[in-house]
Amino acid sequence: MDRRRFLKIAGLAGLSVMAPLGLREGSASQAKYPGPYWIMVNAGGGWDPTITFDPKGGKAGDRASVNQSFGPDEIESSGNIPHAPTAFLPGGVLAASCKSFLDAYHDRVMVLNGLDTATNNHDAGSRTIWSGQLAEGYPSFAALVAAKALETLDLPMAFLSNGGYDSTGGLIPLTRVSGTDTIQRLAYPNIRDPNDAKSDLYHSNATASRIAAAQAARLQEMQYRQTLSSPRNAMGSLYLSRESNGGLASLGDALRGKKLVRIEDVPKLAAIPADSRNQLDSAERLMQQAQIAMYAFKTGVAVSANLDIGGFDTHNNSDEQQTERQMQILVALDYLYSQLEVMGIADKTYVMVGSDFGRTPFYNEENGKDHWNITSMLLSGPKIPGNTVVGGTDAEYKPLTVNTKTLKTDGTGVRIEPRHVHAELRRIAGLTGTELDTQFPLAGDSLRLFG
Amino acid sequence: MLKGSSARRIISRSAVGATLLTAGAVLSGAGCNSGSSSGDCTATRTYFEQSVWSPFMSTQCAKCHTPDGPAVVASHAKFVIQPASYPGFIDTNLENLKEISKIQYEGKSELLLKPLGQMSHGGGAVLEESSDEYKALVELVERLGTTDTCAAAGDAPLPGVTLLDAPSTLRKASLALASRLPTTAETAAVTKGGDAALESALGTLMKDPVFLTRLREIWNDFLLTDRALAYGGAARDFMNEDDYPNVKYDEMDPERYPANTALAREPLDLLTYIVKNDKPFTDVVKADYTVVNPYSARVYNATEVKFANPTDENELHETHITTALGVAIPHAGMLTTPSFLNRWQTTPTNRNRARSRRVFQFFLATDVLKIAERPVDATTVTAEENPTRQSELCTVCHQVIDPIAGAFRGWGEQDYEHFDPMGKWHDEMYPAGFNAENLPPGSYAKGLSWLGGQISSDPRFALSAVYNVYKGFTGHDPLPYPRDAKVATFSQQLAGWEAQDAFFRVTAEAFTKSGFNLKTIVKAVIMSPYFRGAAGDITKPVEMKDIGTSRLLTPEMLNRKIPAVLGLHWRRQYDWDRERDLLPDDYNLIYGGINSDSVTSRLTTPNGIVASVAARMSNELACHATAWDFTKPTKERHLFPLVELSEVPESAGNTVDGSVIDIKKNIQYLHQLVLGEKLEIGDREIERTYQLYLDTWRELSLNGDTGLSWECSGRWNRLTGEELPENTRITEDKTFAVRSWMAVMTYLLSDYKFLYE
Repeated sequence: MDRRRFLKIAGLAGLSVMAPLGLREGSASQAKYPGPYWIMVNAGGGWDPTITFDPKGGKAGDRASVNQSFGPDEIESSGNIPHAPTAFLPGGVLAASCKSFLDAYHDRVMVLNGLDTATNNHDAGSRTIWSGQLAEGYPSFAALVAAKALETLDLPMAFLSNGGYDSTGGLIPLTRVSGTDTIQRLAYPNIRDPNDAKSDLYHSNATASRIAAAQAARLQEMQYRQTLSSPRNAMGSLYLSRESNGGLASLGDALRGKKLVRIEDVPKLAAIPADSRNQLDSAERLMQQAQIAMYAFKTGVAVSANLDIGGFDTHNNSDEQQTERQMQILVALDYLYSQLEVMGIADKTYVMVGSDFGRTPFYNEENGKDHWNITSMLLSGPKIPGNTVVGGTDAEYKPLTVNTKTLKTDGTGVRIEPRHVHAELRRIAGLTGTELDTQFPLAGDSLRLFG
Repeated sequence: MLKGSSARRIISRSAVGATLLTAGAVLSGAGCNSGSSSGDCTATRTYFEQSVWSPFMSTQCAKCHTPDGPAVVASHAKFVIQPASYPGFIDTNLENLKEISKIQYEGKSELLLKPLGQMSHGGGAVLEESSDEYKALVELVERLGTTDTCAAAGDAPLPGVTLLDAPSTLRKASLALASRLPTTAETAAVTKGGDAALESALGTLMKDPVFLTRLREIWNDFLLTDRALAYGGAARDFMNEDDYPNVKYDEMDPERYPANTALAREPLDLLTYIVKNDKPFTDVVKADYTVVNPYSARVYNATEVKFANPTDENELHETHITTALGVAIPHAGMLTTPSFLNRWQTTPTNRNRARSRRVFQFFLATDVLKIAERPVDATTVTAEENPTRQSELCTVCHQVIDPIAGAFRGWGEQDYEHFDPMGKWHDEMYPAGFNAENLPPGSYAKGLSWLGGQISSDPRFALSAVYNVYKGFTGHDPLPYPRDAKVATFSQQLAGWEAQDAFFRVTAEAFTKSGFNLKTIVKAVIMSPYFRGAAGDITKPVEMKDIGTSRLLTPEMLNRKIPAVLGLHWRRQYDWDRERDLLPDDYNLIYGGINSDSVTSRLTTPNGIVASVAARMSNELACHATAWDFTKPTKERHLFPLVELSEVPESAGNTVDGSVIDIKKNIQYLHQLVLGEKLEIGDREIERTYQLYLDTWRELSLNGDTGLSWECSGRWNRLTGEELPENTRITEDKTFAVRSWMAVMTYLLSDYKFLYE
């Protein structure tokens, strides 16, 4: 039985097993994963596209208005992409705006508007945005694409998650990472001090190999003798996790001497006074998540990564909070895109930015906005046409349907739903028609959103 | 007693097949003369589930009669089917059916007329009178009108499961409950007294303070109130200084940290106080008191509470809080603690609905988000003035959520722990209440107290406690009811679910009868095959999916197991005074732990990084422990009491028989100590470990280097950091035995049986 076949059977059986012992011998190797890479940026809580990339002019002080931050005549464009004007953050640092971001990157970005999540429930929204399925049980796309790579490669951290919807559907383990020093220690568990080239080993390499061989043999026999499925599966998972950590050393090498990025390390942000940098804490954390992910990609040990930033559930003072959150995410995206270039992997990295759902086209009595099932996504990557807007919404922030052939908004087409996006993602990832695809089918007709 | 003729007929024709009957044996054991698969005493509950619910009611009737279905929403049908996600849905639905079956038209039950399309059934004719399904429904109605002598379901052993023996269960339970190994006396008593003695030993283990720590961890995994431990000040910072002026601390006052911990941990401390003192667990939602330790007593100005030790954070006393503004807090267990209220906040527009969801989730085992897990379109309801009460899209959930939200009346929507007894509620919402009962006006100023009483009387409360304990000590979520009857493994999935459901019901009943003593559940779980299953029928992997535990230990559990087994902690070998262990400090999140804030779910499957943490842990601990243990007199050694460093396996190419025997005896001892394996000296696992020792020794002796690294040498007391007398130190590996034993220790400390329980 090959690994792919096994994954299918395990999935059908509802088992959380990763693989039985011995399956991967001869079928998987520790070669580096060459790409493409996939980054999912989750804006947790439900963002408000009407003050970013699906701008709706409104009227200040009018709670019935779609927004109170700018008027219809203030909407700007970068390339083909309309966006909100540069926002004003009272008393705060403005380190990025829609304009600064899109002026730099509109050529690579597709904006998908009028996306109907069909829910106003956080969990379901996050699930449908990142898996394409409203109901429970489906893996996130990031997990799915990592599972595909793991069919042929041993990767120690194929799917990195910092939060957001990271269900793996029982297909693969997910990985969390923290500081670069920690990775060093874990990349070389047999070296007492990995930062010291002359450091002692705990065991000679021959002894370390001997221990590993004895562990594997014992685990294999225990699993063979075990008659209960739960321990058998757990033993299989442990075996696989040990087998897949060899590539960590290359990540450790890449990270040697590196520190997690700080705001002051970014040239564009260097002018921000030291006592104001804490206003960009969320951006900094997101940048650090991106940094580790990019090194993992670059060293061929990871396929996909979830990056996560919260704070978008703005039931009060919505405009102010959304603007501030928007800035944090754009600062981090700017860092991400620029570093992808520096690391030479921009041409094979996909970036998806999305949120649980959108916000109402009117304000509650706290000047907040409640949940609304319509939202937007930003997408970029080698097979995604940039400088493009697909879909749209009307003045009341209701979705416009799109023609299934031309993708132009019209009154006779279909609403764009997450399943359409995911069908396209599966297509460009080469998943369509695979066993993973059929194991987690997406209902309905497809829309060629990416051309 | 009714004979199950139709039941057998339908079962035999369905995909359910014989495996259902196996589970039926579990369900109908006690109270029946014959509870076997071939028995003719089928409980009505079992009959309903196997012959009515699974074959057709869960699909055909549920299309319209679930709480969000058109028959209920639009036509207000009395026949409401709770979906399988509703805890105890079989009993709830059966009870509902029993009531409806009594309604008759011209001598025939409405339940039998409507499916045929009569009595203006909105769904028309859905069953044919000659069908097996209809006949099953007829028999069900007959059964509902009689006394069911087969009703008592029992927790009969699952067929084909072998349990751990009592001493092995004791070791496993000791680690799970108290993070220690059983004493020699405890093991001897259980070896002699079997399961009866084991049950008694569990009672002792549950008196260990670590048991209460474990309960805190289990409940915090979903309450997540430990988030307020952040930076040693989060809990103090959210307290209103007008209500609680004592919350202000001087920035240099060292008591500010334990005060913060006490406030953050108040809900969990209340829980452990209840369990430790054998108080009814219903107090977690209805206690008219809270608990304070010396530090929180100061914050709350609870001057009437006297402490035996004013610095003991674990000394808890009951008290009633009155704020500095003179408001007496209407306590309702955890629900009214500032920590809970600030962890699960609300807003003026959310109006406690999010809290309502959490109350359902935490105390009623109900995921309200699954009530209407179907597409909604908010863009269609903007014309409604009050959609949450006027739009069917919204009412389906809000009529369930809003009443509980209303019970939070008086609690601040912006200053969350502030209580105003005169606080108003939002009249446009559904009235405050629970199930079909409204909050009485006399309880407006103590809505949560009233709600706590209602919750604790609901059967789902007991089930919720059972689910939480079950997950906490097995690592498994309760099995979901199998959704798709068409999948090939449906019958096996159903059999597994039925057996587990029977266990849950029996345990919940015992819990209730015990006066809601949580220890009743813990004992039941530990004694069950879900905890102590050791072997099963390999041909039934789906039915036995959750039998036996196989959980990757959490960072907290592994961190406690290390000193319990090894006698030393995994710490940096400096900084001896700080007592900071590496697993919770450096590796918590990457080893699958949570921070109760941004990371709230635990990893249950290891990945490459987790494997590396385990590898590093085993290398470092083997290094720290081995030479140090050999510095002690033989009888005082924890790891190597049966062998000396001078004993080597070979001399001049010849086997040294006496040494080999001692080495193998110590390996046998280590397998028992570290892995809990009782092996004969000739066991192949002993041989495998010995071969590892021997090959390593040969490699080292061939190489001839006797150097022992500084870190791995025996120079210090590894518990205190004190240097050892020079004449006892081990700074060289003259016989190559230290590093050979280190290899063995690394091997054992990274073993499945050490990392998992």
